Amino acid sequence: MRKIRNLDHTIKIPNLKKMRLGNHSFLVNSKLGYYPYFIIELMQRIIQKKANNIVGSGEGGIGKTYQLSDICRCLSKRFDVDDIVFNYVDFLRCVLTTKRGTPIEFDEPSYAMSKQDWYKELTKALVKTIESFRFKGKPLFIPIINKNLLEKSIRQYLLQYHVHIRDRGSATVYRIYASQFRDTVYNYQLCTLRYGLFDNNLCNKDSCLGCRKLDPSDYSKRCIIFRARYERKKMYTQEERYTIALEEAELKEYSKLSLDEIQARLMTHFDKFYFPDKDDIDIDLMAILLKRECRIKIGHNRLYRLKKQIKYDHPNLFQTPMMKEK
Amino acid sequence: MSESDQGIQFELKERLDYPSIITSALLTLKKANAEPTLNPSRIKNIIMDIFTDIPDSWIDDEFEDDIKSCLTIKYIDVRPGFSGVKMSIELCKLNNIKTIQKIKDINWHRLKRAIINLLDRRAMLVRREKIELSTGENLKYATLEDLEKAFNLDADEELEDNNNAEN
Repeated sequence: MRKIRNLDHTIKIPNLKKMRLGNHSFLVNSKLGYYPYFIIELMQRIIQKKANNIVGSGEGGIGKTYQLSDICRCLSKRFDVDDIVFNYVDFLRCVLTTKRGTPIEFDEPSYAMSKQDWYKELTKALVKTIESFRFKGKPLFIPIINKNLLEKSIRQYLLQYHVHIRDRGSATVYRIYASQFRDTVYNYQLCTLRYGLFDNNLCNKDSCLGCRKLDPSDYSKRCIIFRARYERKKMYTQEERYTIALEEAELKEYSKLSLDEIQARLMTHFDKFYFPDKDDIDIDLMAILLKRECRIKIGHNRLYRLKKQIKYDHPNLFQTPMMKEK
Repeated sequence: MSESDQGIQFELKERLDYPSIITSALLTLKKANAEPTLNPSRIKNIIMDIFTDIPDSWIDDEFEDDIKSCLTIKYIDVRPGFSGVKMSIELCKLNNIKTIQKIKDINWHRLKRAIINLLDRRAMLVRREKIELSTGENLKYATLEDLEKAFNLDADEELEDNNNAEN
């Protein structure tokens, strides 16, 4: 660090030197403890064809995805917004299409990788993919609110590093070792990360939310900085998810309706499922109409009951009344 | 902790507690220095003891340079004198009498500092925080215009590729 060669008070204080990793600059002085320890170790592991599964945890809105994508960008110049995936299909597409060494960031995996039963098969497939990840040589980064949300097998045995994000741009990296003899996991502190806002020479706004250039009506005026492109991608994905969630919630809500209520809604479309030549109601058409027009999904038993109820309540609409039919 | 240190960390039983041995030696030196009846030869002995405690595997180029700078040469006037007056150099030369004697010595303070620096380089003195510091500055594109130009070029190339593929 400080070298006093002779006692003639010639003190040499080293400064931090610039170092380029990816397209970004780092400040380095190994004697003072400033060095890209984590990125260099990851690079060496990629060359040595070792598995690299990294989890980044921290509270919501603290910049987990940004922090991990910054690391990814330093690891590989090829890393782009397309390599940040939100679902399993995109994840597999990235595994197959991107070049060796390009990291993949699985953003918001709580849907696909959580303890919940929703996507059990998906989780199994993910574990299998992670296990054989080293053959593809692509480090996987998983930002998540808490590490415990991940499956136990992934959390304990398949992760190599844990980046604990404390604040925006500030994090601590731990190396994870699972004991081969006991059910314990050792976490050794590797280094501290202190990253400035990436691309601050291009734009120094710390958040794209609220910026006019994020999603203007004129496409040519859209911001093309990495974080803006990521925010746009996330925004579209999130909107899509909200739409699906709304549809599901509506379906759930309408399934609670009584037969009388369903009948009341269905009778406005009576002409569409009544065939005068047969003098009968088509059950399948009725089910389709209910789902498309009224957003109601009911089973076959209820559909038959509904058909009989309509015939009973509205005998005038049919040529042969119900009693005669029998 | 690097990958290679991992094995060492797991085998704590089969090791000497060497850092504490060095610590006790350094503390002994501190006590000897603080004594009211300062004994220089004792201090030299203690520093030499610490020096010999250092294994060869620890010694690096910087330590070797530091040790070289610890060696001092003293020149003593050894001309014979008579009743307080020393013989002149000319007379000494005529009678083949030595005028200057070379004495090689060690600067003990420098040696101690060299040892301390060595321990510091080996991160044995204080826990040094390892920091990965990035300014976040993009070195490829200095301004937003540069980025836009590159982005437009890429888009044009992609369009051309697609057109070629279609044709």
